[in-house]
Amino acid sequence: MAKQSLKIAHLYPIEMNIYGDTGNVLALRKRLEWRGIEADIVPVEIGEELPADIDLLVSGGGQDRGASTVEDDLITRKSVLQSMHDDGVTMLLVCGTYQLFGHRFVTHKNEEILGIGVLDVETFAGDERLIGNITTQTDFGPMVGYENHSGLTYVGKSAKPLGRVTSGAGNNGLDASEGAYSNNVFGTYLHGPILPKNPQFADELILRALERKYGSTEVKSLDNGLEMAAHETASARPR
Amino acid sequence: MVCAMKILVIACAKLLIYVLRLTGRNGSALPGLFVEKIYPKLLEKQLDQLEGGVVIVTGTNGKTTTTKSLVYLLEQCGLRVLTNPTGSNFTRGVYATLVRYSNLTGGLEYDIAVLELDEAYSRHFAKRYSPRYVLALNVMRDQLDRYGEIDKTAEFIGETVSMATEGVVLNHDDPRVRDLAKLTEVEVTYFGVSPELKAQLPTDDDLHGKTKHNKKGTRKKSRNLVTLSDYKPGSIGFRVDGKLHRSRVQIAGIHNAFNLSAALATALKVCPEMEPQFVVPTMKEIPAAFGRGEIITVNDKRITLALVKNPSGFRQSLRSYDTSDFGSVAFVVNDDFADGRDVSWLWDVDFTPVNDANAKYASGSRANDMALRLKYDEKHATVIEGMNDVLAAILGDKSEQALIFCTYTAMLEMRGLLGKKTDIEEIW
Repeated sequence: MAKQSLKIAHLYPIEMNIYGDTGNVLALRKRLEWRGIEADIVPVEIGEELPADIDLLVSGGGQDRGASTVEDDLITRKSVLQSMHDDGVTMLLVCGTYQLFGHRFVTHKNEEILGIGVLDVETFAGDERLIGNITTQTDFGPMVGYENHSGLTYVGKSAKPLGRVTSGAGNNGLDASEGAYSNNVFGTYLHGPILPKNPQFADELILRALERKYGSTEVKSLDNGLEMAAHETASARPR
Repeated sequence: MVCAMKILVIACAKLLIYVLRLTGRNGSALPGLFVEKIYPKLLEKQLDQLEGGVVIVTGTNGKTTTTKSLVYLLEQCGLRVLTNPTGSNFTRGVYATLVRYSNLTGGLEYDIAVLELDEAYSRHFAKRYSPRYVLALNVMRDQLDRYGEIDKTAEFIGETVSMATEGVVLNHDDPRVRDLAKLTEVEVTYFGVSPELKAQLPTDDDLHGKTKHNKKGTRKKSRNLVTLSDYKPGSIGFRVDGKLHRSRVQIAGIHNAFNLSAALATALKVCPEMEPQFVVPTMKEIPAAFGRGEIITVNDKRITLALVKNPSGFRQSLRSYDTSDFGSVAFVVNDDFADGRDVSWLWDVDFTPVNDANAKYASGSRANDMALRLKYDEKHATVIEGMNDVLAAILGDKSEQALIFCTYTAMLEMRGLLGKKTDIEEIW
């Protein structure tokens, strides 16, 4: 049997790279390699072509809205990314790109920065930063991370919240929701980065991508001792 | 007229420091806070006595090493230099310094103060008390949970720069710092690095992507007063006004050599009679600052403490040491407020150059996070959370040299533990 392989697009590795989110790409790569599956990582910068045959897409957070050219670039990819969503491509969008994959970001001056609407969420500029350790309960088990955002995000009817906040603020600090997903596209505010300390979620993303490409129904299990020890530590730390 | 209130406050605060020390607690926070609350004017009253005024050293990385080096250089110039201890880089730390070094009649027998101030905080101090010179080192991502954004940090430093009354000294190779020149009307002096060494000293933009700020004019004739133009472990060369001056150095790492060039540029402005050909060779006397590559010897084992606070500093530190030279290497990561609660930044550091066999221990409150980070670069460290235990393990093995990377509070604790085993320079 030919060696299995997944092509992972890392969208805006330079512009959207605040605090450790590249660790998500590393976590996917290693967890594939440790299972004998090849990981082909393709960085995609502003203006660069997004290969049509990607299996996974990962992107992170950046500085404040409006300060970067990422928004303009993303808009040009709107229809491509929407069809990838419909086609079942697995995506993980953290913080800034989570917001931009929604319909819009409304600033303090009530100006709208348009998103691409792949996720049915919208975000409003908030008055305080929601900062600190956060834990949530999701369909993929408990999750732990670190949030640092001022935008307040609300999830619409065509997306589901990714998790319920058990400690921390989450999407907006009000409705206890955290993140959102639709088909295989996941948005979240969890840094940490999210995947290394939530290995069951990392494997869920991998499995969804393998299922789409190879029809796999399970992945080889790995020793998650250290991952879960770090998960436990992070869950117990003060906000 | 001698002010009775001032003398009383100084005496009380000195007593407070003394009592705290008797009860085994060092530190300047409480006495500093006490004075700040009941007699804030002490700041002006004492600092006004300094003929040479105040020099502020600020920036994300390298403040402590640079401050210590600048103090050394100004002392070579015959000045009596007052400085604040590392880590006390908020106002209360300055108050505590003033109390400690004032005599009982309220006199402050120094010529000049060199103060290391937190990059986000220094503006508050500068607005209270105008500095004569401001030295701005760099702006790097550090504890974004505290400051939110790196451009914000640059703005904060800009506010400090704009308060300088005589001159500012700026890093010409950090675009965010270089751009601060437009905020001041006083003389601007630059330090920098030669094009050949530039790749070894990445800025935040270089580290995190393409350099967004344009590079126009940077490679024309150098505008720097001091340029770091040669670096080998243990030896450095500075170009000052076109002439090359060399020195041996104790401090490890090219980033520290760069800090020395910042200190030299500032010293040459503050003390114009200083002659580079004489003073540069004496820079070999400058020891590593507290915990910044400081070497502590216990039972013939040389233990190097390397403070790591943010991704850029950690990367530079990893580049400064060959981990193969150290029988045991430990990584001690805490997530207290002073370290930054968020440890995501560990994933922005590349640990692939670390020698796996020597990367023995992960410790601190986030030992598991650290070990996990290493695992994803295929390094296999043992988790020993307790710092006492990890130190015992390090001292128990046969290697002659150990290297301990520590976050801020981890470094204080580790140094405290080492202080019980051997004599080390006291930090109050």
